Amino acid sequence: MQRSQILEQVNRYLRDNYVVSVEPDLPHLLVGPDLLAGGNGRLAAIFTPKSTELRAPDQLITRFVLSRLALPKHAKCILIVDPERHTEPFISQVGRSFHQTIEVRELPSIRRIVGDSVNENIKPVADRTRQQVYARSNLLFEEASTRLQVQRNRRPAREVLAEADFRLEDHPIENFRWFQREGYRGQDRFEQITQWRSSIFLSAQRTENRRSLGDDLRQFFVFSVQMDYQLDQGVPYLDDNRFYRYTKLFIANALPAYRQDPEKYIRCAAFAGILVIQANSMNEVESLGNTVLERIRGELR
Amino acid sequence: MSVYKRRISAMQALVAGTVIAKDHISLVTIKNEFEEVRKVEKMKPLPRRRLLQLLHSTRALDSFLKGFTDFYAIRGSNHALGEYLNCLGTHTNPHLNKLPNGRAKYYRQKIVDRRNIYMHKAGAFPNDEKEILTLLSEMQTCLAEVASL
Repeated sequence: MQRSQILEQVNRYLRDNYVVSVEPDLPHLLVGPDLLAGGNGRLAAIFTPKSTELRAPDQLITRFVLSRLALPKHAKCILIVDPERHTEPFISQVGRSFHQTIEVRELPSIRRIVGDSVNENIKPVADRTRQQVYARSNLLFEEASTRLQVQRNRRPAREVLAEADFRLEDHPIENFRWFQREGYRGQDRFEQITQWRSSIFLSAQRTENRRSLGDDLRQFFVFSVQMDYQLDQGVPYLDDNRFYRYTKLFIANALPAYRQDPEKYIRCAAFAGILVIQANSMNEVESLGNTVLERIRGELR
Repeated sequence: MSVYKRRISAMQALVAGTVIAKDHISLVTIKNEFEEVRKVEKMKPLPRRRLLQLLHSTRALDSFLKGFTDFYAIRGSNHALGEYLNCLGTHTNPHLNKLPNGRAKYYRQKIVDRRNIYMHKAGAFPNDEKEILTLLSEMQTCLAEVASL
C-alpha cells in the first residue's frame, strides 16, 4: 500500500474521535511524524517509512528521535509498515524503537491501538534530557536569530567551507552511527560534513536554491542527532561527552526564510543541535564555534 | 495542503492531545480560534488580515495557557499571558516541569510586549509582514514548548 493511502486510511479511521493533522507542521521539526492525532488528552504520532528512509533507516530514526523530544512525553509513537514493501530486517531494526509497530492489515484497529495504554517497555525520555535539549536549542536559536539579522553581503557558504582542510572521511565517523552501513547502500554518507579544529563540525548550503537548503540541513540533522544521542529501546540518551565537546555549525548563504514561519529553519536546526550562521572566513567560523561551545559549557552544564 | 493549514491543524491536534482536552468547552473554543486564523488567510487588505490572525492566535494561546495552568493548579489570581508564563517558570508542582530559565522572559519580550502594541494602541496595524509572521510563529512555538513540559 502506498504511503499516501496509508495516511488517508488512518485519517479516515481516526477523524471522528480525534483531531487529526496529516503531515503536521510543528515549530521545532523540519520533518516530523506523518500524522498527529490528539483527543481526550491522548496524543499519537504516526510514522510510516518514506522511500528514501527504506535505504537510510537513520533518517527515519532521526525524525522519530526529534519528534519524541518535541512532543509531550505522553505522546505514543506508532510505526505502520507494509510487509510487501518493507523488508523484515528493516522492520525489526527500526520497529523496536517505537511504542508500537503495526502492519497495514491492522489499520481497521488503529482507533483502539491509539487509545490503548502506552507500551511500558518503551520508557519516557528523561526530564533532564528534555531540559538540556530545550536549553541548548533556545541558546542556539537566539544566537543564530540575533546574528543573522545583522549580517549582510557574505561570501558564498561553499567558498568559506572550502578553506577547511580536514575531511570527515579521515575521521572514524562510523563511531557515531546507530546502524551498521552494511546493506544500506543509500545511507547518508555525510559527504558534505567537515571537521575543523577537532571540536567543530561544519556543513554548508550548496546552492542558492531554497529546496537544496532543506536537503542540506536534513542531512546534517541525521549526523547531528546520531552524534548527540545514544538510542536504547526507543529512548534517546544524551551523550554528555559529545554534547559538551563538539559544536555543529551550518553556514548559510543568506538568512534562510521559511514561508509563514520566517525563523523555522534556524529554530529546527537549533533543536537538532546545529547553529546556522553566515561567515566570511574560517577564522570567523572558528571564533563563533568556540563562543557558542563556551556558552553551552558555561550555561548548561 | 498549504503550509499554514498543516501548522494550524498540528496546533489543534497538539492541544487536543494535552490535559486541556479534559475541559471540553475550552478545547472547542481554542480549536475554533485556530480555525479562524486559517479562515482569514485570504482576507484583504493584508494589515486587517494580520490583525485578525494576531487576535485569534493570541486568544487561542491565552486560553490554552489558562486551561493548562488551571489544570496543574499553578495559576495566580491574574488573567494575563505574562502571568501564565511566570507561573510556568516558578511553580512547585512536582508533576510538571518548569519552563526553563529565561524562556518566560523571552516569550514576554517576543510575544506579550509586541502583541500589546497591536492589541492596545489605536491605529497600530502590523504592516511588516515578516514581523507579524514571526510573532505568530513565536506564539505557536510557545504553545508547543509548554505542551511538552
